[in-house]
Amino acid sequence: MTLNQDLMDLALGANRVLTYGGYVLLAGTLTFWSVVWPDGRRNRRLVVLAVAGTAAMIIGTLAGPAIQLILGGRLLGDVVTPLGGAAQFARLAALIAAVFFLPDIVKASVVGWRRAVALTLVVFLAGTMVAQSNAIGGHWEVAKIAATGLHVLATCAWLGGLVALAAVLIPGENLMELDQLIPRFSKVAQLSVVTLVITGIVHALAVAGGISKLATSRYGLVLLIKVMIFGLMLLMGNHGRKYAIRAAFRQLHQQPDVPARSGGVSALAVAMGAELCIAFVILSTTALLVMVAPHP
Amino acid sequence: MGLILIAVLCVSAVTFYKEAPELPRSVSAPATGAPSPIASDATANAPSGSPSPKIAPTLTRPNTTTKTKLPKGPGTSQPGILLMASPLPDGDFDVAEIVRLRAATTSLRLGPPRLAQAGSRFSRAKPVASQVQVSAGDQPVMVPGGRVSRRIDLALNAPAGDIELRYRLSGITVRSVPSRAGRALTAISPLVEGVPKDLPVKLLVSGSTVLNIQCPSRRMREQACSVGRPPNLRVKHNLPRSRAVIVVQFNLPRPQ
Repeated sequence: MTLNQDLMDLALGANRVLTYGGYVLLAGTLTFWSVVWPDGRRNRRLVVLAVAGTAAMIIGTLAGPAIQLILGGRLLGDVVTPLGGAAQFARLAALIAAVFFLPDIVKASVVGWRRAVALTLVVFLAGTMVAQSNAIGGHWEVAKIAATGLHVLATCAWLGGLVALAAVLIPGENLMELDQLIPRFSKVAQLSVVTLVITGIVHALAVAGGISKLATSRYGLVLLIKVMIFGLMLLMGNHGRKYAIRAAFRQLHQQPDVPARSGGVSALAVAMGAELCIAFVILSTTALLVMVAPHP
Repeated sequence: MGLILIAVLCVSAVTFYKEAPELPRSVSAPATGAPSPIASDATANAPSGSPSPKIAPTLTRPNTTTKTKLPKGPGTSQPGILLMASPLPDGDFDVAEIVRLRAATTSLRLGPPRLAQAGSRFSRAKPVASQVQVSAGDQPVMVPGGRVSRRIDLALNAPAGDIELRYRLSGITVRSVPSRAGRALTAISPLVEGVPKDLPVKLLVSGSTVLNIQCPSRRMREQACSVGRPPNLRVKHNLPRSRAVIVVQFNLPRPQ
């Protein structure tokens, strides 16, 4: 059975979104534990996020070549490059490590060696993503690899942290933690957004081959759409942050009979939910960018 | 169990990286697992190794193999023939043939490629090697007229086990009809004869217009024998000299 090219592209695009989503959930949660909330490992929802991310990444990693081999009727040599294939095996090894050692990592606060292991895992996963990306090959390879690596790490820290924060806060529990979590996460988010903007510009210019080529290509158009969605998400994030601060303030400083809490939390839920939807659109746009990127 | 699984996957990653260039590929389809091809394929496809000290200094091929190390194997590190071919704008091929014999010889037999195994498409082909240069050891060998259009025997000044030929191979290209405009096929085989039938031959074809290699002397399911990526393709596994014929699919450039 072979799919036509459009269906193949669709299936591969969906698989990329699954892989990116899995990466954001797993690496983002590990980063969240390591950098923002070491005691968050007690939160079951975060553990579920990490497990779901691991599963999504494993499926995405295996399904990518499988779709092309089985449904596309292509040969293995066409489907994977030597480095890309090796990166997929290495990623699977890291994911198996995550499956087996996650219980050990979350047995106590994610500090010390646990933090080191978690962050090593994140960097390793990011490395495998870079090895499969269009940063490899062509001109400005070192700059592209550095930019893509930092971009991928910043993505998991920001988007993954956002998902983790939403998983913790939207149910309306753990509001006592807000006072500590939001300032910490804000610092991480600000650093990540700055990194994303700088590395995104460097990478886009290097891949497109200059400003004029970027401006006149389909790649540039899709990138522009992604940047606009990114800007929208920053606005939503800012609203969400303000809601969260207000909700935390009410929870901590107002009387229990003041009916503001539920309203604040539900507004927060709406804002964060919208933000997560936009994050999903950004991941989808990134998957589309991979398809229209000029080859080096 | 987890550690074993992780170790197995890590070993698989390394093995895959080393062996991936051997994987079968279809015609001119870039790998899509990643959006970009690997820039270092030229060296990745051909395992690098130290060139034969006697041969390497004489190589002046005007293509991508000029600066790359010769691959280990037949013709360089072990007895056999290493044939490297690259298309020229007019459809002829520039060929370098590096021969390492099992024992030194005092004579060398050359003959135009026999293309019977290449199929009926080449039944009217009249292959001719021109501008033939031969070195035996480090001594030049005279080729009458610098041309090989029929079988000839050359006497060497001194016994030699390492021989190198450089020549232009003509009369071997046919246009593919029906096919896309400019698409052509050519048949290539070593010039050196009089060597053991089982002498291994390694064949490399490079050039930006090269699309695919076929080994018509192999069984049907093994005839798609190209590995590597354009512009550097090679034949998967070595061929014995008696069956060392390949058909190269490539695009002829437009007349300027």
